[in-house]
Amino acid sequence: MNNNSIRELGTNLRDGSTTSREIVERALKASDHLDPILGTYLNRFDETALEAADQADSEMQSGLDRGPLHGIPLGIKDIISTDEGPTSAQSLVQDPSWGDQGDGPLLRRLREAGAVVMGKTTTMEYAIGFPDFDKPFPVPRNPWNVERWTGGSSSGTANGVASGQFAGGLGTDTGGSVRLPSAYCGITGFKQTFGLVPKSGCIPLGLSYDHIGPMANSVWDCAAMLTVMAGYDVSDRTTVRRPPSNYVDSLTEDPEFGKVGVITNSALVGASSDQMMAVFDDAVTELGSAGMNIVPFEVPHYEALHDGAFMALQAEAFSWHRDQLQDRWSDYGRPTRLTIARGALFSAGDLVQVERVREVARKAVLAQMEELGVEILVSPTTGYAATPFTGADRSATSLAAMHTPAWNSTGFPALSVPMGFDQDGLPCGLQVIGRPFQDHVVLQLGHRYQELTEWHRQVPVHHADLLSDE
Amino acid sequence: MAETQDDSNSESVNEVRTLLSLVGIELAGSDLASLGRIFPQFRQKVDRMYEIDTGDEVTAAVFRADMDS
Repeated sequence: MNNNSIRELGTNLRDGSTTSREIVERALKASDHLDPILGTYLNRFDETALEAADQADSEMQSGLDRGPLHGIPLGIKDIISTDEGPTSAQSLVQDPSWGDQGDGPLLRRLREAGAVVMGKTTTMEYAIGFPDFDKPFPVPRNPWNVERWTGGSSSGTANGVASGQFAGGLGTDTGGSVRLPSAYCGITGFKQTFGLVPKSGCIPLGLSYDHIGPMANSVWDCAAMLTVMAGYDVSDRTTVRRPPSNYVDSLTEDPEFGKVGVITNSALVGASSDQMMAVFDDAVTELGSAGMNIVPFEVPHYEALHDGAFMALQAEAFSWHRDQLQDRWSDYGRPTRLTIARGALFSAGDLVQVERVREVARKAVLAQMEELGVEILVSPTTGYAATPFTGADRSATSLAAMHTPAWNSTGFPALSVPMGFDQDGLPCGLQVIGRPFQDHVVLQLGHRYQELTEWHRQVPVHHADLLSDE
Repeated sequence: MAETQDDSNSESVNEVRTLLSLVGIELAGSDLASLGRIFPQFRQKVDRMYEIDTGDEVTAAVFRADMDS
């Protein structure tokens, strides 16, 4: 049973049965053992983490409670800069001085809320591509089966949360990089509406598709993180000015689910294994049993939204990487350079057409949801569970088996929660999608599902308990 | 038939080489071959974008603070 939720740790911190120092010390001890097996960290900040934990304890003792993240250990994906150390993007190409800018607005908000930054976690190089055994970086492994991938690209944050090396963390999601590893590793991950959370201090991949999102052990935990993370910042003009929301409080408000649309597009269903669809059907049945009105929903222009996300993000990535690709092609990992180079294989006019289609499709999806009275869409997060490093079924590793990028194209909020296991005992993710800025509704449904099920409380083979020395 | 496939692949490789050369990347070997292999399908997907009626639609709007305030 998983005792590492931010919510549970917070309860124990407040009733005096543990301290932030004890939690952080257990987390560090867990990492001494688990990190070499799982490839979670690129850089650990043990000393500053313990200092931050002591500070959190001291404040708590003096009556200053900064909220749910107070004294909670978090892992940060290593494309996000922090005060403690360099940002490598898990690449030989990245200029380490880029990270000299230190904390961006998001890190400042998390620290202000009392969070303890444990270190920088592994990623796929520049948040794109696949596991690369040729470069001198750890290859992140799945705590449910170390011969399987974690999914990418927020890999170390996902396997660190799943294995109990920290209670939550930051990932980034341009085509699914929060939701995919969350699904593969059996945790909860949220890509909120585009513009809700500032991205300054993060190396961009697809500038208009990138999101920094929370990853944790439950929807409640993600809601607690998002409450701190959301809000306009002058350094990122893509952030929106909206009144602050407490996403934890909204979890217990009367739900506004309306109808729940089950995505029926053949491009999605046909790219999913029978086993995955069976697990998904059970999850939908569970939602129906809870009184939700389930209806089929064919997403208009689904394939265009899916394919367009890859094309445009590759073009946007190419614009950022072009000069270094010219000079240091071989220093990039092969999966990374071949993916980003695709952004140069179509014209400026083609990119404009992709962006026009994106807008047409986004409006069409919203209009259809409105017409049918659908507030929420659901699908499996991926077509298959975590793939093996070698010998994987090509269907399982194809881009079509990622059911996430369409929602980067639209910018809609999308959540992944654990929904069961496949025949190999690997976790499967349920994706919950909502309308823009209806993030609270998506979180409400995910929270309701986690009240009905225990999937998010299951722990993998490689796991440590942050509340116990056992 | 095999000859046609080879020709087609060779044509794709040449197109990729030219496109990358235009942006200052001179590619050869297995990386070029790999991009050449995926290029026809990639191009097909790009062309499929023009099959959707976009009318006079402008490019996708990013939700932005200066539009929202």
